Amino acid sequence: MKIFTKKEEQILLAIYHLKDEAYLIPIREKIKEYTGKYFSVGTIYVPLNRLHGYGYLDAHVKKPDTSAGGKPIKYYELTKSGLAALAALEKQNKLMWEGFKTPAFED
Amino acid sequence: MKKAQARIPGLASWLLRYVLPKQDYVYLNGNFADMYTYRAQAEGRFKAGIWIWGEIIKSLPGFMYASLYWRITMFKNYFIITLRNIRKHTLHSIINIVGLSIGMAVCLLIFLWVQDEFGYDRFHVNKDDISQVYSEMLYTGGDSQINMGSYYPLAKVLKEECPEVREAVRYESASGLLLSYGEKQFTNDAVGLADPAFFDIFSFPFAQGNPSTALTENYSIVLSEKMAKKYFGNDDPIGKTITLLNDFDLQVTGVMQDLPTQSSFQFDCVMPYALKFAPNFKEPEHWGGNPLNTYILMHKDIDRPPLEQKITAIVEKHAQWETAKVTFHLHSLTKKHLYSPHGGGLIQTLLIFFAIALFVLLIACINFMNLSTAKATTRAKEVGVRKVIGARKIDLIRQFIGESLMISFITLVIAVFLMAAFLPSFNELLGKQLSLRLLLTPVVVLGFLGIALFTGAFAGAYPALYLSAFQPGSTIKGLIRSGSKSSLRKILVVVQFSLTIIMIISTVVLFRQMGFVMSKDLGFDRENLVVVQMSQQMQERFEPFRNDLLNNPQIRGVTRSLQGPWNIGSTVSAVDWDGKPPDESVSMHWDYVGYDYFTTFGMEIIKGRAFSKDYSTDQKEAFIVNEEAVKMMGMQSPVGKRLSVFRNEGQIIGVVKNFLFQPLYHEVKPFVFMLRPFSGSLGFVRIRPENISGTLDYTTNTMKKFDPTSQADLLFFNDVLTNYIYTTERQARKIAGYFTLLALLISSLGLFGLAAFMAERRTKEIGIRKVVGASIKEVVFMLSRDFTKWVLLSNIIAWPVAYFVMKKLLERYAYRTHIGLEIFVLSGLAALLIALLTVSYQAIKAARANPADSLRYE
Repeated sequence: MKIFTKKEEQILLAIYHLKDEAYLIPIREKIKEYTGKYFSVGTIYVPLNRLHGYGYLDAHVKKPDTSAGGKPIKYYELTKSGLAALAALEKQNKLMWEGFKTPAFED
Repeated sequence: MKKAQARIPGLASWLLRYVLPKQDYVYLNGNFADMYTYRAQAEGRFKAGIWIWGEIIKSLPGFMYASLYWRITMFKNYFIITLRNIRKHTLHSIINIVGLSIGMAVCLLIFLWVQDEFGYDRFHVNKDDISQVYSEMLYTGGDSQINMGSYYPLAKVLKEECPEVREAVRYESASGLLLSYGEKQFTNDAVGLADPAFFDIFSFPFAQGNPSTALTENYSIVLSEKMAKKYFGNDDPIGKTITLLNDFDLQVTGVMQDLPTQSSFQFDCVMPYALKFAPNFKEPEHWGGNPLNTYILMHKDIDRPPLEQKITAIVEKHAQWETAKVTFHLHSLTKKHLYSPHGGGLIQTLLIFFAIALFVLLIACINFMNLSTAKATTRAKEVGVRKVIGARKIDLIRQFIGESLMISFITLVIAVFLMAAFLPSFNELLGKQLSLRLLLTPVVVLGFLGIALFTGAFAGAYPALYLSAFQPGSTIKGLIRSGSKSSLRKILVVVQFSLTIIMIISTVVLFRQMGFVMSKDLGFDRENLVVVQMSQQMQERFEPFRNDLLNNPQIRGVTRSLQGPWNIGSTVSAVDWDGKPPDESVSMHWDYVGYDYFTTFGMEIIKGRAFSKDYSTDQKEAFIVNEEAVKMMGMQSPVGKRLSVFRNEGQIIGVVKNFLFQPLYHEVKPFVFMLRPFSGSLGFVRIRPENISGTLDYTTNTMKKFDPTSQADLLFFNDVLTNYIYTTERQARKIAGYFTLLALLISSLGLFGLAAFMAERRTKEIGIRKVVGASIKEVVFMLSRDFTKWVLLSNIIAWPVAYFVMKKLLERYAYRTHIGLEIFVLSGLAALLIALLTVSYQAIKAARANPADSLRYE
């Protein structure tokens, strides 16, 4: 089982949640939702492309849509192995976080 | 809802084009555009512009990293491997780097020199349209003579009658003229005499004054800044007067910036040509040859050959020569420095040395190739592993070429330092001022990088192909037995040694020829003969000057002449004698000489008598000719026969034994002496071989007595020959000598490396041989045998080539040294000896090793 970086994990999850709407800009927005921080296009694209290269993601290009201003858009979706990877990740995370209790901070 | 698409600002979208990965450019660009549009609508274009720049800059590392990551990783790997190999095989690396950097430094030096020589006279604005007019005389025998000297009326006639010619000027250089300003008197300024249009044709930049009108007044002079400073200090020179020969007052009308070194013309000042005919300024009309040059400026895009014919026709009409047929030719200014109308010229020397430098580099490259392929076994496993992992052949070729390029760039750095270290002595050798500042000019930088690239690619190509062809299966199993069977390596060693031997033989022959030139019997005694360049004062009071000199018992004879018998090129074709065939055109070389000329020089009068003060008619009507002239005229008893030269009637009073009055490129030709005891600026002093420096001091003091401003140096006749006549030979000999030594050094280094490798590879064999009973001598012999064979083979190849090259090089000499077999044999033996010495060091080391050490396994 491959070890994913945090960024890769976030991207896979973002795509999972976005379903049909997963392309670079919404992915970025989604990650902002998770982390509260905008990452630059470059730092998203590189791992995204890598995941695509490993075969966890499929990509297809949608023809220009007038509302998008006439540019083709590359959409990503999870492949079978992508979903399997997510499942494995979930297991891992559960394992890691099991028994963790948020300590009560006192100011 | 339809959104209006906003465009990303120009520069930003250009930047995106470069940084975005190619395969996804369209989509990523679209994404950026969308975000920009959104921002622009929400916050305005300006803020969106700033934002997009921020985004792009933040994205840069990511994108760059993605595209460069693998390349950098591989490059880092190659780099480390190269450095490790350099460190691991220290001996080989040192041999390679030393050899290559010497070879490259030699190439760099020659490149600097060549590019300097090619830059001559390029600063003239009209350089492409300027030509020198010269003539060629054709004699009945089929001989012809090229004459750079021109005619007084030629420039004027060409300007008036040739529409193609925009301007035409005469130019003549002079030296030793006395120029004075008040107390300041000098005779050592190089003077140019030129017609007024000179500065219209040639673009010598002026610091002060108007170039077009500077020479229009007859009594004017244009100074260089250096000369102006010498005479006037910091005063404004314009309008001041400089006195020429205590007689003519010349007004300074312009100051030139100091001449660039890359100029064929070298002078400190220029005066109007008309001054030659002062004070009455009557221009000579006759068409007799003179030591002046004619330059023309043509209109744009004029073809030279038709113009040459036209000039020939025009001159024929004016001059109406009866004697010889003369044709005119144009020598363009851009060729003046490199090409000689006589054929050859500097360009030949440059080509030869460029070739030699390339040879040296080639020899160093061969070392590199041989050592890399010999060491291939050590890399074979690496190649195998790389191939198994997935490297294609092209990747490996790229890796190995890259490696040799890296080494060649390392050597370039060393070579530049080497070159900088040798530049001063190289400059001194050539009498040039090549400066390291040239290293900053683009041509030179490109040239140097080119040389490094060439070296790396050339030296690396063969090893790269050789290494990349290994089969991974066999290399990993260790089946590659590289080393002994490579016939190409033998060929390369043979090539290397052939080149070296050719260079050795050529250098030896060059030295021999120069020795021959300096010891050849010229027909007079050249030892202990001092040449004095006499100033005006000495010339005018020559008799007292001569008597003063003769007061010293160490001085045996003093005489004078117009020309020096090291290179008398001027000829006269207006020669007539009784019985001369009417349609025959001939020429004789000639000189005006003083009394005692023949006794001072030690020339032998074989018939008749020398010039004598006892006969007053000698000054007008007497000629002394050489044997060759007698032969040409076909006289049985020449003494007393009528002869007319320059239309002066007289008779032959003596015949002098043939002597050589030109460099040894030319054979003896007919010669006629005329007596002119009151002219001629060259003095000759014959001194006794004892106490030479005292005699020279005495001579200098006597010169000072007659001319207090005299700064002339005394020169021995032989020094004149080496310094002024055989300069190219002198330089060529030295450079060839050094380069040959370097070539020998580099090829021996290569051999040393190869021998070390061979010995190492055969360690076990040697051990077994020794155990079985071979003696050290036998082992050394066995190891050296191959190399001996190669060097002997090189000799066989090199000898005919060297013979041919030498024949070609000595072709220009009419008198040449004998190229005997012993030169070849000795050079070959020398090469063999050095090769054996190199090899035997390794062989002995290997042979003396303890077999127990070499045979023990682990």
